[in-house]
Amino acid sequence: MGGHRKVAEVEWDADFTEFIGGCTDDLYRTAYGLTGQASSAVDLVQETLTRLYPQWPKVMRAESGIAYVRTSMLNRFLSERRRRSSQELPLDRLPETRNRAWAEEGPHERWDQRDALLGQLATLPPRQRAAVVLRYLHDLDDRQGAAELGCPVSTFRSLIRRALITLRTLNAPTGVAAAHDLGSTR
Amino acid sequence: MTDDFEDQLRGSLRIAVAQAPAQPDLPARIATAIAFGPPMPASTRRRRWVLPALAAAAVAAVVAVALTVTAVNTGHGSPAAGLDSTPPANSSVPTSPPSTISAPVVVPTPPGRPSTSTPPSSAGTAPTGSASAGSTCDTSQLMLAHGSASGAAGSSYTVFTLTNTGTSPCSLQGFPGVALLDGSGAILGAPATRNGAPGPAIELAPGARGQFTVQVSDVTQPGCEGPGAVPQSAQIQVYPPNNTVAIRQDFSVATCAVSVTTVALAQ
Repeated sequence: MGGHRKVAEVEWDADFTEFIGGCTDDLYRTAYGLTGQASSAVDLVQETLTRLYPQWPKVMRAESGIAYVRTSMLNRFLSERRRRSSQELPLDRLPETRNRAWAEEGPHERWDQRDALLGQLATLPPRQRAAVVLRYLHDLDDRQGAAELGCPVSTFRSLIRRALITLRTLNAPTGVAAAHDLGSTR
Repeated sequence: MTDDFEDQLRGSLRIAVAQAPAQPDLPARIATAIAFGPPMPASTRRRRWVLPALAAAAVAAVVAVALTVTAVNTGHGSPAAGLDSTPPANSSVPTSPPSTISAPVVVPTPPGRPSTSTPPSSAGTAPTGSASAGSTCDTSQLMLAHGSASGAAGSSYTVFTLTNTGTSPCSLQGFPGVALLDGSGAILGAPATRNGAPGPAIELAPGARGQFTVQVSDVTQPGCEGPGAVPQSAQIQVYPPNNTVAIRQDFSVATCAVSVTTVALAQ
């Protein structure tokens, strides 16, 4: 299979290069949303694509190459998080310290600071975070999001619902208030 | 249903990721990791010079339209020559078909260049030789179609296909010349830059498609900051590789930086 393999690799090399030229930025920003950190995002994207390279034809056979790669990246992200049993939050600031200030500024200033939202996202369990990124960054519906995350649609919905409850609570003006109310409106 | 809170979340998340520090060298890093990294099959290492070079080209193209035509899935092609000129022989690499197809309008442009910077590539600049025997596909026998844009966070990617509507096989090699046009047909901004190196020639049997990807960046690119800062295109103009007649098609997108990949075989 040597000869065939060489040919195939040459072929997908151009293809792969095209892909990383075109989609790396998108993946990086997705990874940034997931990890909240540029350096982690870079590592995540690099590892994902490096690992996928040998199976590139499979990626291109997928209905959507970018979705395939994103799923692979999500899996990598989630398994890495699982491995680190301690839920470290490698952020510059703790979300709460800033949260209090914004809450007083009113709802429209909630996330006007760049890492405010990312800091809050980082407090969510990784799968909820991934679901939020798929839904609100990539505008995937329940079905698409579930497919990319590799879970049932109902699970995806539930991840989103729980994430929203937490985020609403973090941003509720009075702090505790309304996890309850807001949660139940969903 | 969506409520105000979700809208804010959506908007803020986009802004947050758009503000992530740019990583212009990331493609090059990835290419380097692949070329030199340990887990690669031995045969891929030979290409250590190819990948970094391609990646470097891709980086240079970030602010331009990279238009490359990549051969993704040629069933035939000579088992040729050098590494770079070897045509794809892998039969199993279909790429996703376009999800919407609009009727192309063929514009017989005089044999001038579409613009100053990106005429359709001739094999000349390609390190990849032309391996395929068929004659070059003429614009008149090609049908242009495109899928819906995908992507988020600063870039959209649209896959375009060129279908051989003729009765005999023909070949395409290299980059199409791509530019975005306004409502009056004038070119908006710079024509697409080329992303990566030209791919090998691909042979299109009657009915077969070649494909390339057009990347359009928006607010995250220098000079394009801010919503509304860039004009919206009305059409896209595509010169198939080695052709002097362009195809125009409705294509509305915010026209910041555009780049295009090489033409590859689609299925």
